[in-house]
Amino acid sequence: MAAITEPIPTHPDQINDDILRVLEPPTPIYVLMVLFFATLVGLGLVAFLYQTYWGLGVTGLTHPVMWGVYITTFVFWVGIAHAGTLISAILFLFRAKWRNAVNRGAEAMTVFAVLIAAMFPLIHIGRVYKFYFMIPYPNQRGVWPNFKSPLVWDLFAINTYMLVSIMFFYVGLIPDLAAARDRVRDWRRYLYRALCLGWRGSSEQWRHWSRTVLHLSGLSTPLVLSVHSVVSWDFATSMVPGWHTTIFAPYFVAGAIFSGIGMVITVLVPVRKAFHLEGYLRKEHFDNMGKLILLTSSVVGYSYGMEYFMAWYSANPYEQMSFWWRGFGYHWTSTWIMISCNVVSPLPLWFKWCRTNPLWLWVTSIFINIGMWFERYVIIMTGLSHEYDPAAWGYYVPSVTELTILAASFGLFLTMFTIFLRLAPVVALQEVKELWYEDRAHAHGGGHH
Amino acid sequence: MPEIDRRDFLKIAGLTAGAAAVACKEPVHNIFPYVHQPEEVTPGIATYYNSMCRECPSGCGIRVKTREGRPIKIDGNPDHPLSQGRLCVRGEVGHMRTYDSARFAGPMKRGADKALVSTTWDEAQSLFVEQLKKAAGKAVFLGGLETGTLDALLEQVLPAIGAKHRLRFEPYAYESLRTANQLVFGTEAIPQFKLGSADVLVAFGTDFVETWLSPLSNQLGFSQARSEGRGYAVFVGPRLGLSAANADQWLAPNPGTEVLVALALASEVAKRKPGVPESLKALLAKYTPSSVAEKTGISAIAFERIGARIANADAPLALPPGVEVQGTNAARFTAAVQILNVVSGAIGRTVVFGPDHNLGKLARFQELSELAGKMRGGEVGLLMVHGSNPAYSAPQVGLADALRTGNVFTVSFASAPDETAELADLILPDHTAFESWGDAEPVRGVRTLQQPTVRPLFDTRATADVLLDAARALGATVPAGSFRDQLVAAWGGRPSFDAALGKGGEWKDVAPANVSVASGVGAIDFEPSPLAGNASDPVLVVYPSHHLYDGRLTRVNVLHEIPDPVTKTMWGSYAELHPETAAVLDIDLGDVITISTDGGQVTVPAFPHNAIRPGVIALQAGRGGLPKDPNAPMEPHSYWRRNVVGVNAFSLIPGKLDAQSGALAWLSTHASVANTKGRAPVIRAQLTFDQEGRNFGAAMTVEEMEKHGPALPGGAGEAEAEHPEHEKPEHRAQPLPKQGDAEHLETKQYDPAADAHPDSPYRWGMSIDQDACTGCNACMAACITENNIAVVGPENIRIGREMHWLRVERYVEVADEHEVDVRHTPLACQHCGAAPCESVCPALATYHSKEGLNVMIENRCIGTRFCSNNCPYKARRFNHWSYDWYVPEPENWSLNPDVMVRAKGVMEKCTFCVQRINGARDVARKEKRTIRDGEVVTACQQACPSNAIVFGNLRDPEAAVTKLRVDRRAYRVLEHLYTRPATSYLMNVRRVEEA
Amino acid sequence: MTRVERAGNHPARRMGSGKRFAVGLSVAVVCAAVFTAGAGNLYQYTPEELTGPEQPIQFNHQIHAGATKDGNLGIPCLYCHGPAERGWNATVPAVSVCMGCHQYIKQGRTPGSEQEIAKIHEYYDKNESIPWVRIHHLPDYVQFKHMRHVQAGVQCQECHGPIQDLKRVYLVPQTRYTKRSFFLPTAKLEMGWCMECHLQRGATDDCVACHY
Repeated sequence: MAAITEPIPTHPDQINDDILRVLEPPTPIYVLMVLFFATLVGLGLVAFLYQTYWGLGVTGLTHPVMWGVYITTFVFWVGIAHAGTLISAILFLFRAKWRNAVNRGAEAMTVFAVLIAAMFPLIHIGRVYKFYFMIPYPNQRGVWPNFKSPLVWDLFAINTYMLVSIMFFYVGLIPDLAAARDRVRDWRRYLYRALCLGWRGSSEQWRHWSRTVLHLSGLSTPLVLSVHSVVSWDFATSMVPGWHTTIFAPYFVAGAIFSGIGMVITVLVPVRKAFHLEGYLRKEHFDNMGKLILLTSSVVGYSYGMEYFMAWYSANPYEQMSFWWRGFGYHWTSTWIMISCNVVSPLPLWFKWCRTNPLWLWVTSIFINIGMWFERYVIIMTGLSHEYDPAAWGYYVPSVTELTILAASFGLFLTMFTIFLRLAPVVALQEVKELWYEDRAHAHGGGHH
Repeated sequence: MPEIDRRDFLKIAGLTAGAAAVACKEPVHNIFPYVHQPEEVTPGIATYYNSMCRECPSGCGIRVKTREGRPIKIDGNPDHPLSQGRLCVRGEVGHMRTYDSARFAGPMKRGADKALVSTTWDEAQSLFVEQLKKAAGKAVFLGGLETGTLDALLEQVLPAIGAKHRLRFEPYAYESLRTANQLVFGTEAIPQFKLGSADVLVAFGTDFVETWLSPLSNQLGFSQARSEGRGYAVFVGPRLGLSAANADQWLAPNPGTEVLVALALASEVAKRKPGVPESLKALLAKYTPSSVAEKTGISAIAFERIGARIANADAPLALPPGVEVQGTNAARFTAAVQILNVVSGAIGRTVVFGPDHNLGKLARFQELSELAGKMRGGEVGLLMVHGSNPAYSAPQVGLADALRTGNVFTVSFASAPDETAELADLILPDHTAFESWGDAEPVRGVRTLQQPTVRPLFDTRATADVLLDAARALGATVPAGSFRDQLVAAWGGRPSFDAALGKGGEWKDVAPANVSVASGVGAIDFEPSPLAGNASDPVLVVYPSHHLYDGRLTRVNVLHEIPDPVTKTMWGSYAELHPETAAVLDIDLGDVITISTDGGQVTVPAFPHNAIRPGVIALQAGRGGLPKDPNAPMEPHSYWRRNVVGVNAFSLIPGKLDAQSGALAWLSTHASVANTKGRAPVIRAQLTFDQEGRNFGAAMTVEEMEKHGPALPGGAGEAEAEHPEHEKPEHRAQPLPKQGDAEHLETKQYDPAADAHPDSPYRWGMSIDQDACTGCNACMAACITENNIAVVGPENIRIGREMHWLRVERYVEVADEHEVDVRHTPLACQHCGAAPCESVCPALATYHSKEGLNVMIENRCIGTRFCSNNCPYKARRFNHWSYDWYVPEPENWSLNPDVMVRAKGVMEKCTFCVQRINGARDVARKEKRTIRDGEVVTACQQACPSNAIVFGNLRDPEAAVTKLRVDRRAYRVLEHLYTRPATSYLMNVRRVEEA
Repeated sequence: MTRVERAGNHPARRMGSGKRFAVGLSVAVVCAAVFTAGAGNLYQYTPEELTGPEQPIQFNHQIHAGATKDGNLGIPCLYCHGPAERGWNATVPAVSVCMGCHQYIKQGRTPGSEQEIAKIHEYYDKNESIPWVRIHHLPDYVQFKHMRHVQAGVQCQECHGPIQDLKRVYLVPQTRYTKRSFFLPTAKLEMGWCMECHLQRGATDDCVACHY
């Protein structure tokens, strides 16, 4: 195993003490943080009601740019939601040990992100009070949604993903909830008692449990690929220049993982510091995540290049014009922010020092988040503002309402995450224990195969 | 959709206005039956009345569609010789002036604090009479173009009430034309200019499509003369206006020297044509092309070419100058043009005296300024203003100041607030055109009747009756009975009156009169019009508004919202100047500049574009009228109700007159321009006039057209159906448009008729002739009134949220001395056979109907807006707000009950007027047959004054639209995307001057 | 491996709890389904709707249009609602139409009829319209044409119920269970209710036939 820089715990019970420390009563700073994030959410709620009453006129959306910040943010959060499943499911199946420490945080993030993402299509549509026209349900009219529409595929993809990831998250949580139940003495123990479904930790339960985890990860692995592919088809199946591309599915999936890992780092580095989890969220974990970022970043960078190449190589005047505007037109700033954040800023990670330096990694991850949001923004804006008909070209400038709701989405995410930190162990107990025992076995020369 | 249930109200409510207030409120829906039901009215079935359009003096016949006693749609009267079933952009929305929410609700007088307070008719009438007594014969009646019986009646009544002096004031009064005819032919008559039979047309700054003389019949003739690549038009003037854009050649001489161009052309023609009177020969010898070339800045060769064209033409026609180029030499300039007509032999062939325009009685501008002088001199005791708004449209004469002095008691008969009424001491509101009786003979032999189509909405009275009562009160002897009785009498009593009413009037041919060139023509000395001001400054060109005429239509929102046909700007005035000039003056698009002359000063945003001569700055007259309703409630879209939109360009014209004709010299000065460095939004519907070679508007030269031979017989459907693709490499006569630099993008063959259910007898389609299309926007106005399309106002338009289902795209390819190639592409939903919008709608709100329509079900729409993104034609419009919330009573009364009012959050688009299709089907079903070709007429098609639009059934091989689809000029926009559009276009024809 | 030491309790209990949970859940689901289906049916008709609103004049369809064998007048519907066969709206007849008969018939059979008939005269003399309260009301986005249905031979009663026997008009409730909607109930004048009939008779099922 890679060089261990932090002291590893000497006894499994110390693991419990370290990790379940989070369950101690909150500090004032913590309370303030939660309040602040909650305020953002409140603002967003007001903005949404305002928009629902007056109509989408309060946004900057216009003809021809009918999609804007909302769809951008939707795709962004769906992307964020990918890291969790990737880390917990795929890496689990590949038996990548380093995931054990981070998977709990990642899964939580996934659940919250996908919940938020699922809200945005509703915020986005013109008549939110009629959203159920999209859902296939028996109705007296006998009218059904249009299953040819990518938006309906989206509906299914996102909901499936939401259910599976919630299940996955919850199942993984059960043993730790039990541990927490045995530890806390205040009101929360009733909560844990209810939630851990009478977990006693018997061998039988463990067997069922690990089977379930295995199956769930098998189930959710294809979702990692499918969900964002489907989201990408919202664009790829249309005939908008700059959207109508075959590389979108892999391009979006790579981007999703990229932004997902970014967000994992963004949240876990502060947590690690705040709760002194250096012993568990170790540098080699960050090292590995850094490598993952490098990989995905290069895939994304390659896709950018490929888009421009195809625009040129296709000799399609509409594509060419569209990409010219993208690079040097009205939205050029967004484009170059995107490229510098997603392609340039991760480059230092080629050096191990940068990878294993949490602060550096954290700053990079912030850039990545920004860059990935702008990636979607650029694709949507520039595609729509210069389509086929020169007489119908137009521009889009986001309105305050839209930006408020965007901010609120981050507020909601952080609110949920901070509250989660205090309710459940952010590092999966049994998983790190597994590691511990295996390490010990290793140390004692007992080969581990 | 909308909770305000307007449709039911319109369908069911009777005529009681009180009922109106109740019935359009939720939740209790009332049904108000008639007390006595008129036999011709059945609630729910439209009734049509023939009447006359009064939005400009040309007096076209109209057919008004009413529902439950409310006019909701105006169309041309097919039997009428002037309109021939078509109508212009202004006529289409004329009824909106009647539904103006801020009209005078009743008579008003000045209260104690000089503020207008409403009063009763009895009181107002008595006040009027008493003032007439006081005026003691010093009363003046300042009218507009009162016509026919009203005119005759006024002639009797006015003297009786002591108004000896009477003026008929119209801003465009054709004084110069009348005087010129006096000079050249010895008659003041205004002849017919038969554009329909002219094969070569030379217009000297004549806006014959916009406002000149009889714009609608001008355009009818123009398009007729140019069908299938025939005809050739040259435009001489500083501006590439709407008329110029439809010409084939644009000469832009130095402003003021247009007269020399006319003479040079005349001399060129005289050289080539026999039978030119000696007197003229001598005169014209002085004006050889070479001699004027330097002064005018036009190359001699151009004169010779055009001269030759005219000389060789069978029926050439030169149009007298429009107001925008008439300077202090207006009359002589016009005379020069008439001389050109004489030498080219146009007189009697395309310029026909006899069936003259009845504009001869109009006051000359001079008389108005004299009147103002009299008023200042205290020679006028009482001024009656009717049907004109001199305080706005003639600020030069200082009428407003004269009124403010207060020694004149002013009575206004305006039905809605205007600048002159603001100054009036007493307001006796007249009915609007749609509420009142009347008649006119705009052209000799064409007598047209005007009948009320709605009961007066407000407490107004017909001016004629007011005057009659006043006369009776003064004890004068005037004809008994009301004005209507006079009218009936004038038309020879009931039977003949009713007959005429049914027909819309009566028209008989008037024998053409011969005119001969008067002696002394040779003596006229023709001089360019001198221009005041600093010669280095740009020349000020003020031109009439195509939409607002002289500003009388400024209260109609729709006309502000329809993009200007040339600049594609909306909602306001914009100073137009050539980019070069702008560069010299250091002005960018949207810079706020001040333009000042001796006349006055205005501050407007600048709009540089290429369709104007360098060294000129142009402003549109007719804008900047009073705010529609200063007290309108604060709402997201009420900005334009409460505020002035644009500036009054009349105020810039110095009061210089043309000595001979007494006309105002519009083109008389340079204007000093200063950049205030302020910025203002330029509200545009179209950001570029360059189509990037994408062939939205395609064109072919006459030669190419001839090459392709005649149109294919039979329907495309059959032609496509019987041969599989590989057997017919290029069997289609029409060329496929090349898509910019993407010739390699393959265009697949397909059968347009196949895009419907196999059992359906119909596949609806449309064909639009771009060569015929002049870009006059009549179709847009028709579409808006027919389909209840919302007015969204400048705040929304600024960011591109206009709701027009149909837009006229304008692309400028070439516009110079050799060729003008401006392409107008009316673009609506193409009802694609493989519509990209249909597949992406999650709610199935848009789908392909069995009859091949691309249907939009607004009430199923949830507003994901994917359809709009995916529409390559960008034909879909989204309701960002509940626009119906902001329509005040009674403006919503003009809504068409057959079409739903869309609420916020839903998409909408062109339906091919499906309500009309279904209406035709009702009839056909009852008669157990299918719908015949030509039975369904879409609103745009019905309005189009150049017959550019044809709608029909692509599955009917005999249908006109099917034949046109395989015409030699036919092509489809963006066809290579394989959207299988149902709308096909006919290419522009470039009449390239043979070099 | 290490987990084996951990004690667990007896399997049987856990199984039991799981069963109970499953049963409870399924019961809840069924109840919810039944309730929604029922609610969809019940919410339609308030008592006010089942009697019809108070009209300005208590016009009695039974007396006018009821069967003659029961001693009623049996006036055909189209006598008063003539436009139904040629126009969009059946329309309420003009006051003058009522007066056609009632200027002679001032006294009806039912008690209190003379006051009601007097009201007609009142309105007529004041030259005022009668503010009837609307009962059959379709939303703005439905374009319903009476003539098409009358011409197709649809009886008035098929939509308006036994109108000839109503003393006071109200929207006669009728609920259909349609196959297309998986046997969900649809109430009168709702789209499913229209569609059911359209499909049975092979009339158009094109959305744009009614929505534009």
